[in-house]
Amino acid sequence: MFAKVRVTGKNEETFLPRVLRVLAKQGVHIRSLHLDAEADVVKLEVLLVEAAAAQVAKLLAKQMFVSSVETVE
Amino acid sequence: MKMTGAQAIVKVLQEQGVETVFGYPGGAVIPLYNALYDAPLKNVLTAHEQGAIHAADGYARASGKVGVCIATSGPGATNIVTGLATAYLDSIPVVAISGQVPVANLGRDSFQEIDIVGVTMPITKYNAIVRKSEELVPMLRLAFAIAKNGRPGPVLIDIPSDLQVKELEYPELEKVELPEVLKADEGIIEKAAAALNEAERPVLMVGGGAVTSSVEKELIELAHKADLPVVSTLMGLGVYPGSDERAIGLTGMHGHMDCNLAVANADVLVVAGSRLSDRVTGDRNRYAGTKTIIQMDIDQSEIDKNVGVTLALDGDLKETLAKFLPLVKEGKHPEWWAQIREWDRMEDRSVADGSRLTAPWVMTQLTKTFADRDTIYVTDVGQNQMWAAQYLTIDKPRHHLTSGGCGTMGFGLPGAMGAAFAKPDSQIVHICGDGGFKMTGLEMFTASRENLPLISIVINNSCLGMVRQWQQLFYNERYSNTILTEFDFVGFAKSCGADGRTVTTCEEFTEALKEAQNRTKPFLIEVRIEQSDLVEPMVAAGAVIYDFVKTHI
Repeated sequence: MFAKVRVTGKNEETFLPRVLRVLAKQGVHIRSLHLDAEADVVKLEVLLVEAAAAQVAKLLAKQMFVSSVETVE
Repeated sequence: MKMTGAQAIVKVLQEQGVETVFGYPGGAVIPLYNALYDAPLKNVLTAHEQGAIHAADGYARASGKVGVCIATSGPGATNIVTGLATAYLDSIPVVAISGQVPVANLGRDSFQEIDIVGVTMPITKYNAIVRKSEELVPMLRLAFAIAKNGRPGPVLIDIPSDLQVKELEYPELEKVELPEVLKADEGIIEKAAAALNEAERPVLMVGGGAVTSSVEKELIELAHKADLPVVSTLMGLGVYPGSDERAIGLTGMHGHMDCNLAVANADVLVVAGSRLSDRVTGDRNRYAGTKTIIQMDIDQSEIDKNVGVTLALDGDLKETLAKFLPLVKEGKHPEWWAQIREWDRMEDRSVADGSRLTAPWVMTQLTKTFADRDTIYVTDVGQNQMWAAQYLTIDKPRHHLTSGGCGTMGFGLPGAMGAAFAKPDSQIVHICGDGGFKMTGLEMFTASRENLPLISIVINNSCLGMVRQWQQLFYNERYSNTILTEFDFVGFAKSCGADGRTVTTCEEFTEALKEAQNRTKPFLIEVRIEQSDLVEPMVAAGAVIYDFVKTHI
């Protein structure tokens, strides 16, 4: 089963590496990853294994310049 | 006001209340060192960048302020990586400033160019490279705010050398916006208090988060009101006074028997500022059992991370306890205490009885000798660290400094040096093993040059004791690369401008400790002990925390 994690943050040069680092450290199996960048905002949607979604969401929420994280079952 | 980038860095440091910086100059920070040359800051030159970052860390741990470290680009920056990891895993507020090649040379594998932001991303709370002059001051201000806000941690700011030379307009101080710290749910606070009020076998566990939140008074009130036995993780030692009758000591892999058994048999466990790491829990799947675990932590991602908890109170510990305490009823648990005292009597502490020179006995003598003096103990990693944690009595927070999460051998001496700068009126006692001392021992030269009256206790068992202990117990006594050859510790200390003595008996140690006090330079005491002395009790990695290793079969 998979869950969707939506991350919104500031369009800062290390935003994406920080998100990917969190996912890599947790060893999460990812099905898809979609990124939209506008002037100052980045929106990222990650489809990942459901069991890891809650902890990944908490870890992403505490990254600097992440403004919101929501998990969609 | 116009000034160079380097002058602006110094101005931000002053603006942030920084009094001491630790570092090592190099090509990419020459402009910054030029600005520091006549700046009203204590600028400490260490023997190695690793010494600088551990000193900044020790300064932060002892003072509660942000520690600052400076390193050049390339190898200078990579030399602080272990120190950043050490600070990160123990949530210590440090700001590291690294020099970088000029902006125009970035990404070209220039001389001494390393992508230190990429290297340190997993081991910093935040890091960034400054690419434009106008970003420099706001980014440094942000670094200090992030380092100390919420759950503290290290921040690295990488500054190209040309931006240190270029002039900029120094901006007015503006408020830095940071995410708000969560507040614990009041309904869960009520449930937690109700659970504690009904408990028959409660235990309070204090961790490093309690030190950061300065909740020593609240913890004493809680433990006395509800009659709680108090166990401490390695990082929590001192936040609850070790000499208080309710303090039963260290829990975890080398926890005391009564502490681990109390935790294992508790019906309610209140965890104040601990992530319940593997060294604390042993087998995390068998840690909770049927008990109610109330976990208080400022970092939401720590809740349920290692052990599933029943009641999660995510928020600042001080605020949480302020709401929790009034709901807690006066309690008494005489039967529970009788059981704990019985478990306590099971532990053989004869190793500390003074019939021969041992590390546990040394710890008890240090406690007695410095009982009336404000003394900060800074330990290294390994057997020395565990003996200190088991047998020193620490009564105040920030008086037992150690690398808990990262377990960094070599932290002790530079960490002690940082503590000495932070607390010049306190006695600083550095405790290490013979292996760890050699890793960063050249900082003895720095400590001597700076006239720091450290007392450095080197527990010399001529081996890498903790690894040797595991090899003895779990690897069929195959002592692969753990037996060390002779080293002249006192001669080394003297060559650094310090002094010292080698001791082989309890009487000699007592004399040397007298000689070590009231000096203006470091004094090293090499304590020669038996190689076969083990740290006990011990729980094997991954075992349940009351399954103590049997070493005397």
